[in-house]
Amino acid sequence: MTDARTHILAKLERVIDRKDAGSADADSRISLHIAGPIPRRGTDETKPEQTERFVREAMLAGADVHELISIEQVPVTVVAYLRAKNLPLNVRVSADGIFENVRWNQEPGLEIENGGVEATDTASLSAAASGVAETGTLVMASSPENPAMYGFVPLLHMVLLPESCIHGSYEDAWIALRQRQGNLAMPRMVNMITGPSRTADIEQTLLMGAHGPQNLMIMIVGGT
Amino acid sequence: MKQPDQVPQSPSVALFVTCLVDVMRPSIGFAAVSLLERAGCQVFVPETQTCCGQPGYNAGDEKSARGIAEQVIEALQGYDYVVVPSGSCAGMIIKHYPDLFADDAAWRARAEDLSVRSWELTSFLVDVMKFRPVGITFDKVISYHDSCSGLRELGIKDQPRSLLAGVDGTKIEESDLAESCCGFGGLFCVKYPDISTAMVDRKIAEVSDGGADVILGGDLGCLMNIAGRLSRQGKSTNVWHVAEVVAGMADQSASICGSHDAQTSAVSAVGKRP
Amino acid sequence: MKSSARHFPANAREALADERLQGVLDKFSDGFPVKRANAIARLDEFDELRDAARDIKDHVLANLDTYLKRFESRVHESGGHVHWCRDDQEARTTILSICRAANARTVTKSKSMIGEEIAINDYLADHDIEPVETDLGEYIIQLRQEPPSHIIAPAIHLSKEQVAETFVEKHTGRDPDRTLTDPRVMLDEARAELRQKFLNADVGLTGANMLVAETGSIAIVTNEGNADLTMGLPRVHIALASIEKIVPTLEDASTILRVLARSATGQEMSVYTTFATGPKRTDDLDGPEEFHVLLLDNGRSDLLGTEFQDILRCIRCGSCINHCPVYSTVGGHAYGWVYPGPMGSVLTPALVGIEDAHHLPNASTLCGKCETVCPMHIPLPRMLRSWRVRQVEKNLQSASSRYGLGLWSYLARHPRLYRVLSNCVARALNIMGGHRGKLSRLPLAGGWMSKRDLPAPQGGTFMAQWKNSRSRYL
Ligand code: SF4
Repeated sequence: MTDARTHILAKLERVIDRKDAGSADADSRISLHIAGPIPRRGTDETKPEQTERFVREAMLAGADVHELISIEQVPVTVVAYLRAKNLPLNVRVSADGIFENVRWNQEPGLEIENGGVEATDTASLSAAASGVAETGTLVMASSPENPAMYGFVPLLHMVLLPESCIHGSYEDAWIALRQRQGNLAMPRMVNMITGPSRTADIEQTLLMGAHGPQNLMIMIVGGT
Repeated sequence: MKQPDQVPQSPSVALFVTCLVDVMRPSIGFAAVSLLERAGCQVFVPETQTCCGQPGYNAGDEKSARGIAEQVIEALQGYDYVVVPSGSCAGMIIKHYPDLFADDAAWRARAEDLSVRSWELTSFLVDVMKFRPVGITFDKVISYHDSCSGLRELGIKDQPRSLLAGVDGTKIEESDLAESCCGFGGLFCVKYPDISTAMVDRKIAEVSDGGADVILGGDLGCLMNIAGRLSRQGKSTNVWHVAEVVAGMADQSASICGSHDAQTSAVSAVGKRP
Repeated sequence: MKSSARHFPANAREALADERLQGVLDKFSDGFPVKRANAIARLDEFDELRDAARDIKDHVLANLDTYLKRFESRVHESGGHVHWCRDDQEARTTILSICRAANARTVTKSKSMIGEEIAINDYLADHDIEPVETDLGEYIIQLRQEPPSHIIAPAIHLSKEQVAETFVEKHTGRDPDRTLTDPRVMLDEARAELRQKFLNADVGLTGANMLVAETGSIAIVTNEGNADLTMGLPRVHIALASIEKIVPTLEDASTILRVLARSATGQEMSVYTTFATGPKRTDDLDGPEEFHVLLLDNGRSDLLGTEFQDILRCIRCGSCINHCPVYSTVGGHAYGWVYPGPMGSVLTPALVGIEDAHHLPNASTLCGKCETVCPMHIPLPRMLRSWRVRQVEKNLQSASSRYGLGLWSYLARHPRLYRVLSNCVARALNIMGGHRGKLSRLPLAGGWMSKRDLPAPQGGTFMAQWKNSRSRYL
């Protein structure tokens, strides 16, 4: 079946109306990562303004956002949120280093488990690679510590986002991601998440929690 | 959108009357002449004009459209401006004639020359001649229908409204559907009458809900469609071309599809003026 | 999917007579356009982004072979497989053989218009593999065995009562007498049913909104998160993409994302935009063991270099459909194939043949709304007209319209004859109209007269009156 490949490529070769320099052009475009127009709202703001915008946009998209002073506040915030949503105090927590020093036992009754997500999990907590202020979008990069399915299987997805990882635009988030990955390839899954799962497929009625989480809770931790 | 160049003193203007106005509603042509003269133009009506060729063009018959276009280009050469009381025919001349001659440099140059000189009536009056009507009264609540080609090909939206703003007594009740297609579409309404009717019905219902007495527009095709449907439904909303109203001639000819009882001939109406 | 595009007029009549559908369509035409307008009002740079998005796709189309090869080698580097398919048949057999190799019994699917194009569900079912649509809208219409009526809202033609009936009938494990009126309850029911399917599926089949040449990633955009569960839970992930879906870089993808959701649903961003690159890595706790990408041509390369090339810029946002006055009158099924509305009327004739789809390019008033709302600046009306030109070249127009237009064009080029005849017609019709000022019946004018009156001409033609009055007038 290799001839399908040969056939299609030969045909393209024949019919393409080459206006630019061909492959050299394509290669340089890829290596230069030239950005298109970036909305001013993504470039012209100071760090605090970016955080503010991130919070505003994420909430517009239906996420719940909590701003924490330190990572120590995570357990109490999580428990309060679970209680408010009437969910059991069980959380699947990612093995990301950022959670290493969190003292979960501060909160009696809170059950924490690491490892792969299971069908019965009701809530998960993972760490974001970036937050994009432009649209209140989280960028989650999958890894053995932060499995992608944390963001999709449970009814509630909670995300820890260090304030230092908030960027103005998608482009800035890509720059940060490339730096982080170094020579490694793209993470297997990069999930840009803007608000909780939803559908309007039944007579255009907007409903949250279609297949993914019904609630998306973001904790922004300052000073990290 | 077109930008006018330096406008000559009392420019010569060829009126391209359009086939529909010619046959169905000459009063629009006379209203256009009257307005152009009041705006300070010398008006000519080239004798060899017929149709702009749009029916064939939109049906995919480019060969015959080119034939007709050549004839129109010939007929309209030598005037400072060509003015058309229809957005879609003006769009045909301004936007599509040059495309028709993509492979023919000589004709293309002539088509482009014509394109630059050609204007839709309301935009010519407002944008080029800076015309404002004086002493005209029309005591009605108006719903204005923005015809598709005029609106989207030529950017005509404010011009008819600004002319109407100069007419005493007018009140424009903007419809949410002002910019949506009335379902005319030339041959479309003949080939797909059911769909076309559903489209015009939606428009009519929206206008009725808004409480307008009359519907005005700048394209006779759309206006015939809307008026024809209103009439079949037994509705009393009147329909005129905007030029008839702005020229103060709406009461001299029955509204489109309206009864002719009250009509005095459009010619004598023009003839009465000094 | 088999095309019934040739029955467009009958399909449309049926749709117009369907009061329930008309009710749904009324609601539909107020929804998306308003949301889109609001989203765009919030973004000053929208027009700049549209231009940039268009330029990206034009650049890609001018270098498509190069980018496809770059993409392919990146997929290989990340441990994935690429399958090139010339047509629907090749795509179907490729998918089937991957499924067979995986011993698959169920395949979960996230919405893919290409999946509809190649009718993969029927094919898999015929080969004893159960395909399960997971996008809620697609799931509903799969239960009803109906085709989608919109590319981003496949069940937009259904009322919630119809959805409820379908669930009561098909979700057999539940109380048949339960009341199902609240959409929330219906959604929860579907969620529960589908969750089990997600967990049991052997293969996940998704589409792809973009293919990123830089990274070898496929990008998928959804609001429900179903695509992520589809590709994340089963052992094998197959992504189905047509060759024009390439973008060079993540930056280019970002530009397109900025116009995509805003144009489609009026969201700033869809909820989930996922870039998936290769299979599960060592130590990953989830993800598929196999990652396959199908690169399907199926007629795309035939459009390159033709007057229809620009439709290959389409990002399937649905904006042209949401704003189309014909679509909002007849709905999506009338178009008879996968892609409805303006983009469909351009694409369908190319993919199923203009002979079969001859109505579609004609069933438009060329009102131009679609082009003004297309984020990729695709000149849809121009291309609808280009199809009409092809029809004339192939002699596919009806005899009556050919004859009528031929006569008209002859007259239009003979002004003297035209003058005399038009004046006669105007006078005759004027007399026939009498005092009523209108005509309600006329031979050969059934199309118009069946639903409308025709204004009677006012008397002689303008040209004749002008000639008579000129001496007095000059
Ligand atoms: S043609 Fe344009 S508006 Fe229509 S679906 Fe494609 S990109 Fe969207």
